[in-house]
Amino acid sequence: MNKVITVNLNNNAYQVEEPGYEALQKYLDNAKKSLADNPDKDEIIADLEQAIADKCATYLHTNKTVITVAEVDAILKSMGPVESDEEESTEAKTEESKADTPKRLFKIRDGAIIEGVCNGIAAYFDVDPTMVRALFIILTVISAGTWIVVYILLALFLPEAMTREDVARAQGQPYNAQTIIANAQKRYEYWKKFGQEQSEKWAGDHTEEIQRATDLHTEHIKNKINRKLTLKHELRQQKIARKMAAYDYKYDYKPGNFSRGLAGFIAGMSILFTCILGLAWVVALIQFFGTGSISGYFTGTPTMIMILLLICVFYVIYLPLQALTGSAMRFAKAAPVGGSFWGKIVSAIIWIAALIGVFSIASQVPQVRDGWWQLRNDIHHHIDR
Amino acid sequence: MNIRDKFTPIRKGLLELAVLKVIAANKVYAADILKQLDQTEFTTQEGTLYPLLSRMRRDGLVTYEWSESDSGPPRKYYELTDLGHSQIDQLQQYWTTLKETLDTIGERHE
Repeated sequence: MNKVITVNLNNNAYQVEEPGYEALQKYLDNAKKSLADNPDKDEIIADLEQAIADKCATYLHTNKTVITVAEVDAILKSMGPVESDEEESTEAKTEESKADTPKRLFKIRDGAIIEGVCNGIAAYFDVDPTMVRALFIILTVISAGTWIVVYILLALFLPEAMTREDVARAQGQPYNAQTIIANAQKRYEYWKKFGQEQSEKWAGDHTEEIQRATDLHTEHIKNKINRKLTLKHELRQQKIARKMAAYDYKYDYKPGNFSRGLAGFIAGMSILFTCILGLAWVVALIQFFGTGSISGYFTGTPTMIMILLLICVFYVIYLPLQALTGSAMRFAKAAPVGGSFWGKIVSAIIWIAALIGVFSIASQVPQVRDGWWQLRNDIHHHIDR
Repeated sequence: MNIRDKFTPIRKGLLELAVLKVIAANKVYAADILKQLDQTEFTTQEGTLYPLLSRMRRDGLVTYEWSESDSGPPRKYYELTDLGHSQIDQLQQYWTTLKETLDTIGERHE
């Protein structure tokens, strides 16, 4: 049983089942929307209503006074979508609708490994999530663990894609990153093939010369290896000499307690600045993804360029700060001198573990958690504004 | 993609000529036009035809007058203007040119 609503179609009264009435309303609303710029909008709508009324009449007779939902659907289907005949206006409309739904960065839990941050970024650029994850891992190792902070902050502040539309919005219009990579691959294949063909052709023409050149090259390599061995030996000697000098320095020169304390203070301050820099950077990134600008600046900058720019700016500030922290800590004797590649990896792992530890302990404290939510909401509010 | 779909934009562009020709033959109202087009490749719907008719009227190609009908409310009967007639000639001429080009293109003239 359905409720019946009486409608006035261009001054003809018809009784329509309620869902049918809603369908009619929607059809006419859409018609009005697509005729918005048409000077004869009202007249066309009246004509359309009259046509619908005429069609309704064919469904009615003495023992049947109500138009059913199915009949309304059939009528609207036979009417077809209303297309404005003004070409310019439809173009303007598609542009408008594009501007209405900007791409947004989301977390996508579906198929995620941790929080779905990489997944969301991959959807934003329309690339394989594995690539993004690999990039994050590489950046984490290169930055000695600092990059993990970026991940944690993104995980905290990015909204989650809850609905299908959100996921669609995360992807937006197909971004060009994939095409760029595909093109680069194609170009690489082309030049590789070209090079092979050319070299084979050339080799066929110059067999003797190649033989002579190969002999010469072998000779050259032998010489080079000999020289390298000598050089390596010399370098080792130099290194030992340097280490000994450093050892002398370490025990000859002892900074006083005041200068060591000052160095420690400077180290602390520069670590603090590094943290602020990281935070500001992530906020800028989120803001850019959310609104397409950073506090109103950089509007319309292509995403790829903006990210490269942000990374450059980050490192221009970060590297000197890191150097300052390192030397200040060394001066204060708070950190071991130097460090090898593996030493850096180990310290990166310790740094990551410590960060995860701190964050997981902190998240157990209600005040801290509330504070994060507050900050997160503030930032969202700021972005949405 | 079937053949019919490939010609969708062509049919859309030619719809104006088809409608003009239907109106030229007889004084008609919108439902008549739809019924006549329905048996052809140019079959269309109210949602497309009404905005087209209104634009043609604004361009001065057609006019209409209200006329009582035997059943139901008065209807708009459409009629061609002089401009509409000359528009048919021009459109028809260009269409013939297109068709001749297609018929002869690619043939070698020796």
